Order: sequence, then structure tokens, then C-alpha cells
Amino acid sequence: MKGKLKTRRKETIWGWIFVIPACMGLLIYIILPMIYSLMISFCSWDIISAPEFVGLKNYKALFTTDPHYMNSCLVTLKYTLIFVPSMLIITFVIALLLNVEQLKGKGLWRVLIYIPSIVPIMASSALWTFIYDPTNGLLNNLLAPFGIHEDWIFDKKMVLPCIAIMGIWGAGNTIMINLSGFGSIQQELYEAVDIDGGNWWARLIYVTLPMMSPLIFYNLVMALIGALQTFTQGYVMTNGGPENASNFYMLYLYDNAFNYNRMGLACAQSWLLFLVIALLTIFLFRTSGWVYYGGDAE
Amino acid sequence: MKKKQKIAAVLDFLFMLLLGLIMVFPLFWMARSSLMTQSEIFRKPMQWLPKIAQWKNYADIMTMRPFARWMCNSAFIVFFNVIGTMLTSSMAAFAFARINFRGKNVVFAMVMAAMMIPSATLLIPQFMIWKALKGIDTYAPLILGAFGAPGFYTFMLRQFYKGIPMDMDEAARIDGASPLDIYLKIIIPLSKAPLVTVAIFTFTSCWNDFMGPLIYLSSEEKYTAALGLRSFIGMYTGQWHYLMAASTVLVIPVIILFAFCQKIFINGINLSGGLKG
Repeated sequence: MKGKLKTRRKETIWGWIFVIPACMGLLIYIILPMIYSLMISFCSWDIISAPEFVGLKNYKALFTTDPHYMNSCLVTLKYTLIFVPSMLIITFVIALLLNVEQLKGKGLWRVLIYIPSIVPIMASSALWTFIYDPTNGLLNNLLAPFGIHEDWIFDKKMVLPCIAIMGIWGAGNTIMINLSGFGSIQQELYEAVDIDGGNWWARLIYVTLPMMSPLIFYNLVMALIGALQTFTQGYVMTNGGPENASNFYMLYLYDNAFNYNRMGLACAQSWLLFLVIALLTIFLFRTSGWVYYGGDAE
Repeated sequence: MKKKQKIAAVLDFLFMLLLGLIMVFPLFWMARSSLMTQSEIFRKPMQWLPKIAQWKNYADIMTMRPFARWMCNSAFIVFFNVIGTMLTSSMAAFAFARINFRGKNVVFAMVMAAMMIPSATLLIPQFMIWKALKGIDTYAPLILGAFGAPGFYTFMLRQFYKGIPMDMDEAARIDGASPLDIYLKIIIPLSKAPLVTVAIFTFTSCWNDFMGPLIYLSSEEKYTAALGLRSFIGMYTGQWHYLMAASTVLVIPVIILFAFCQKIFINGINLSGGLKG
């Protein structure tokens, strides 16, 4: 009995030794920064002088007097609504087509579709700025014979769809996630549909979609969180323009923090973003009754 | 029925051919433009290929800006990130999967919850903490985070470690092995494949990282390759042949890595997907 207790204590000591780095990481990189930024969000602070407590003034200012905040929310919301659904549908359909049994050259297609997703965002931003360039870019050059000439990312109506297209181009990893999901669906389920005389549509609706719902859900949550934090594209390609049409939430937050030295305001912004993402994630999990987790969830 | 299926397969093949071309075409376009003279790029109607490949564009950008230096800086940061992540994530994963210790569930839940916090919201307070610690314009903020067991890789490795039969540990324990022995002599040798996956994904996400270097690094000789490309874009606006050459330089290391580890990239994602952003 005493020996057992001793080994139990030994286990606990060893366990804690192994998680020391994880605990340090949590403390220094997550918990302290979260508390610190919450405190600063109630202060007015320009980094140089001492922070001054102002209560909820920063939060109030964002929603009432700030000239750009509501616009940056709207831009980010618009972009998310354009990007996330189209990306999820397109990657799912491509994965379906890539999963067809009789398709030849699967290995090659996988590689070609995946490659864009490893291109560094900075390089792809430079590349797509060039593709969308009105005078010398690829798109206008290709469309010139048809008499089409657009300003693409310099057109405030088109800039967000343009950035979304670039995002879909780099979404090959989501296609691969879907493919790996298809691979783990039991074949018997499809055979059952076949016996009932169902066609490909029935297979899709009654087997593929429900069995894929956990992965679709995962992709949805990840894509939402990612889209709400879009930064580099706006920073590099358009600098928020034209007329602030691509002034993303994160871009404006960055400007407030590092260009205008409004740290308190920026911290309030980052806490609001955190709350939105947290509430959204909770909401998604609460309403995820449509997700089918097989027999036992793990 | 058979015939219909055949037609569908052919159509599918043609679609994939088209899609594959569309996906790779921008990269081809980038490489092609990087080998042109500026007047060739400006020519109308558009010219598909350079008359003579202008390899000198690459030599030019290397002398115009310290790209070689920036690449070395990136490699330095990547190296320590890979080491740190592999070491600390596997340690934490080992504890979560194979040691029964008091407080385990609480720590694990916190690691999982922390994964849900958007990195964007942590950026500014982390910056301010590093500023207070006089860590701005050093590599410490870009490296030390990897030594705090990044949650995602910890989770991924934990899932793998859970799949290794427990009998192995128990047999070793009867022989008097400590958890450290089990970690070093049983678990690590058995988990080479997932560790390589962790290394590769850490490599790419660190090489591709832009916001971190943007915020922490201010002196030019300390820039990473991605940040260097950003400053290059600002200085040579409209000189597309140079910009595309510089972009190609940033892409080449990940493409080489991909060429060698295709399988790991494409298959390794069932767990680690959605990492970009």
C-alpha cells in the first residue's frame, strides 16, 4: 500500500517535469499576455508615457467616435462571408472529383493542387499583386483579346473577391483533409445504398455528407478563425485600400498599435476579436447537432 | 451504365488537367517573369516566354538587397523553432498520453483551450512584454515560443502516443525503467514519423511567418527572408522582374522541402490541417 502511494507520487513528479515547458509556454505566452492586454484595454497608453486608467472609454470610442473601426469590422465580415462558404464548397467538390475511383493520375493531381498551399503568404501576395496588376498583370493580359479590362484589387468592389480567390488557390490542404476523410468512410455504407438502388446523389446525401460532417465542421471552424484574422494580404497587396475597402480588422488593429501608438485602443480591439471568435466557436459547437460522430466520440 | 462511368472518368480527368494547370500556372508565371527583362514584361501583346533567360536578375537582387543574409537569418530561426517544438511538444505529449499524474487533466484542458485563442489577440501584449524585457529586435521572441510546447503539435503527438500499446511501458517499468527511460528508449524511437511531420510543418510555418518578424525586427540586417521581401516590394514598386525573382527565392526552399517530403506533406495533414493563416 505504501509502495503504491510512493509510485503514485513519483509519477506525479515525473509528469510535472515533462510538462514544465508546456506550463511555462502557457503562462508566458498565453495567460500573462491575456491579462496584460485586458488591463491595457482599460487604459489610454501611447507606449512612451505611463498608461492612464480610462475605464471603458476605449471600447466606447471604437463603437461611437472611431472613424475606421466599424468599417474594418464590416470589411472583415464581408470577406469572411465571401471566402469561407466558397472555399468550403469548392474544396469539397474538388476533393469529391479527386476521389473518383476510375480517375487516372491521382498522385500528380494531388501534388499540383497541393503545391500552392505551401507558398509563403508573402510570396503569394507579391505574385497575386502582379497577376492583378491593371497594366501588366496576367489577368488583364489574358482578357485583353476579349476587350475586358478591370482594375481588380484597385477596384473597391472587387478587392475582397480578388483576395478570396487567392485564398482559395492556396486552400489545397483543405482538399487533402477532405480526401483523407473520404478514405476513412466504410465501404459497406455505400454498398448498402447500392443495394437499395441509390445513385451517386443518394450516396452523397446519405453517406458521404453525414460521414464527413465532423471534418466539414472542423474545416468550417478553422476557416472562420483564419478569415477573421486576415492581415498580410491587406497589408502587402492593397495597404487597406482602395478607400479602406480592404482595411481588415487585423490591419486596423496593427495600425493602431504600431503606427499610431494607441495601445489601449488596440488591446480593446484584440479583446473584442477574441470575444467574437470565442462566442462564435461556442455557438458553432452548440449548434453542431448536424455533425455525426459515429458510435463513440473520441 | 459502364459507358456512362467511362465518360464521367474521362471528363473528370480533363477537369483535373485543367485545374492542375490553373493551380500551377501562377507559379510558372512567377518563374517566367523572374527571367525576363523589364521591357519584355511591359510588351503588348503579352509575351509568354523570355527570349533569353535573364538569370542575372537573381544576381542583381542578391546584390541590391542582402537576400542571402536574410535567408540565413530565416534558416537560423527555423532551426531553433524545429528543435524547440520537437523537444517540448513531445515531452508534454508524452506526459499527457502515458503518465498518470495529479493535475494532468487541468493542464491538458488549458493547453487545448489556449489553442483556441486567436494568435492575433496575443500579438500586442506579447510584444509589450518583450519590449519590457528588452527583447525587441532580437530573435528571442521568434524562437522562445517554440520551447513552450506549441499546443497543436502537442495534441497531434499525444494522439499518436496514445496509440502505442501500454504493455510496452509496463514491461519496462517492471524492469525498473523510469518515465525518462521510457520516453527516450521506447516512445521517441517509435515516433520518428510523427516527429518528422512536426518538424516539416514547423519549418514551413516558421519560414512563411510574416507578422512575427514584422513586429519584432527593426534593423535591416536582422530581417527574415519574408520580411526582406516585404521591404523589397516597397522599394522596387513596378519592377516586376525583380519582384518575381525575389518571390521565387522565397518559395524555392519550401518547394525543395516539398519535393523530398511530398508524402508527409500530403498525408500528414489529416491531423494538422488548417494550420495556415
